[in-house]
Amino acid sequence: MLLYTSMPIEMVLEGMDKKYEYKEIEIGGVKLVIEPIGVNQGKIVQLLSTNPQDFLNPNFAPGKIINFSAN
Amino acid sequence: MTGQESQNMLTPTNTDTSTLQQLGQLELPKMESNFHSITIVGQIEGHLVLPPQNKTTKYEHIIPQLVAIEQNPNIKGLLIILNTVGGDVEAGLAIAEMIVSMTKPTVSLVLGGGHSIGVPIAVASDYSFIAETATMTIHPIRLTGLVIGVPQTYEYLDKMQDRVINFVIKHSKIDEKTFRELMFSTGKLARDIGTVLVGSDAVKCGLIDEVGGIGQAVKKLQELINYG
Repeated sequence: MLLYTSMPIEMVLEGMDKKYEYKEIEIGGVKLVIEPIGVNQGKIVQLLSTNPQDFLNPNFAPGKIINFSAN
Repeated sequence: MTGQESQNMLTPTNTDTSTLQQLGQLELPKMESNFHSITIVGQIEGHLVLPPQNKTTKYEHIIPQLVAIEQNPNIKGLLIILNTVGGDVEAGLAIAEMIVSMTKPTVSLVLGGGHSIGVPIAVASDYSFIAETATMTIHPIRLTGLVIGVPQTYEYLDKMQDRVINFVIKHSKIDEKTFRELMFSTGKLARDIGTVLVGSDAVKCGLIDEVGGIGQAVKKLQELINYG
C-alpha cells in the first residue's frame, strides 16, 4: 500500500491504531458489512454484492445509517 | 383541513415533511437523467481503511458503480467530479483505468483540487475540465512510514511513479519531459518538490482540456452522448 497524497501523512494516519468491530448482515438479499452503532442500527462500511446495479442504489452507499432487525 | 390531513402532515414518515426536516427543502424535483455522476472527494481509500477524520472515496464501491454504469443501457454517459487530495496509488490507478476503458462518454471536472493520484483520474476521461480556481499538485511519490526502507524500495517507488507518469502522458496532451519537470521542480512548493497548477496552467501545459465549470462539463457530455 502506497499513499500518493498532497496531505501530510501524519494527518492522514492519525488514529490508525483504533480497532473497529464490523458485522455482516443481509438486507433484501444483499449482504452488507456494517459498523454497529446501536441496537439494530449500523453504518454501512461495504456492500458485498455481485450485482453492479446494487452499487447505484443510494440506500446501500457506504456511510449510510441503516436500521435492521437482528436475527 | 380535516383531522386526517393534519395527522399526515405531522407524521415523520410523510416524505415531504421528512425532506423538509432533513434537507430544508420542500420537494425534490423528479427527473430522469441520461447520465450518472460520480464525485471523488477527500482521500481515495484503497487497501487500507483510513481513520474517520479522513473524508474518503472507497474504491471498492466506485469500481462496481463504474461496472453498473457501463452495463446499464439507460445510462448514456458519466460525469466525474473531483475534489481530492490523492490517496492510494493502486486504487487511484484502478479507478483511472476503469474510466479509460469505458465505452460510454466520460467527462471529468476538477473543482477545488485534483492532487497527486487525482491527476490520472482527471485525465482518464474523454474530455476534462478544470475550474478557474481549482488546483492540481504534481509531486513525486514520497516514502511514507508504510514502506520499508531498503534499497529495493526506491526501485519500487520509481516503478510506481512511472506507472502514474506513463498513464498521465498516455491519456493527456502533456509530454513526458514537461510532466517530469513539473513533478521534480524545486522552489515552487514550500516544503516539497513539485508544482501546483492553477486552473488555466493545467490547460496550458496540456494536462487538462479546458477551463470550465459544471455548465460546460454537462454541455460537453451531452454533446458526446448525442454526437459521439
